[in-house]
Amino acid sequence: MQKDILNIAGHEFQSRLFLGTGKFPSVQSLRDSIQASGTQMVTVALRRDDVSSQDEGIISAIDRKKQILLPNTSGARTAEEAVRLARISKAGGCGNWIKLEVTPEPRYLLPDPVETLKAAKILVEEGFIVLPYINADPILAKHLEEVGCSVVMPLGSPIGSNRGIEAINCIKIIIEQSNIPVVVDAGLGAPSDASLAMEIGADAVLVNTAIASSKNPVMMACAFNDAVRAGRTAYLAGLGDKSFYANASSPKNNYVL
Amino acid sequence: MKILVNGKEHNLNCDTACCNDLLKNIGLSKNGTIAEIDGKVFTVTQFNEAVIKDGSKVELIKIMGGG
Repeated sequence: MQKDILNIAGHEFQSRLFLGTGKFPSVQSLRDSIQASGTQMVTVALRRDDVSSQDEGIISAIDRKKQILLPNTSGARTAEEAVRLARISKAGGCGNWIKLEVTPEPRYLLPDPVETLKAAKILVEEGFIVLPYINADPILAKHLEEVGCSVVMPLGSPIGSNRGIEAINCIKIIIEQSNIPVVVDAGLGAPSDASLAMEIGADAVLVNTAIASSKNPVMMACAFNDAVRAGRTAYLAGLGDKSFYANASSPKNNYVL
Repeated sequence: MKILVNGKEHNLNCDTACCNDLLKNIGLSKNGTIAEIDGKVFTVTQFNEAVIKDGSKVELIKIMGGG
């Protein structure tokens, strides 16, 4: 089979599974899961440091020669806050990739489309590689493409909910219309969800909670790795047509009976 | 001098300090920390030159796990 490479902003990815680094039981578990997942892109968050912090050394689990660091702007409720976090991240040595998240309400953590677009414009102009987390809104996805975002990341369902792809029809429209890669992010609860995203033509998926909160994160990272490959291969092969009626697999004549 | 560290008032027993002094004072490790002092961002290797004065607003930021 021909080499199947995902290109984002001139960077080539063999793996189409992006991995979030939150909620892992230990730094070692995260390190092993990164390896098992085969990922080449890992997301991180920025938070105020404090003495009781449990996340000591998380950065040591990431090999920046093998994985692109994708800091997010989680916690930002406005465009202004997101832009500030992105600037801190870049000046703090985390590079110029940014997963743009603007989530003003805590219950569903749904992204604010107006503020996201506003922040995206500013960050693209400042030279960031911007990957915005959005509702599965095809019109917004086009606006973000037009302002220069490198991908769009529609949610399957709310962050950390493990509910799978509830917005599948809108994600299909985004995929159909997009000229930039589409990464399905958030809510993917099982490898079959990731596989489904890839089967319908998503360019990649981002998974965190489903792997990190599994009883065996490393094994689950393997399972997602396999599922993403399987889904992608199925997409490239082309799924057969669906039909309401049965279609016999054997010839409909010369029956023995 | 009185400064604000991550939104909370903090007293340091000197007139000026660098970011390394502050981290030592509050018992934080430098590993993975980013400092924003009065709107300017410093990485660990720049902490010696990151000057903190009376009234400075300091944010100590760490890279954490996130999705």
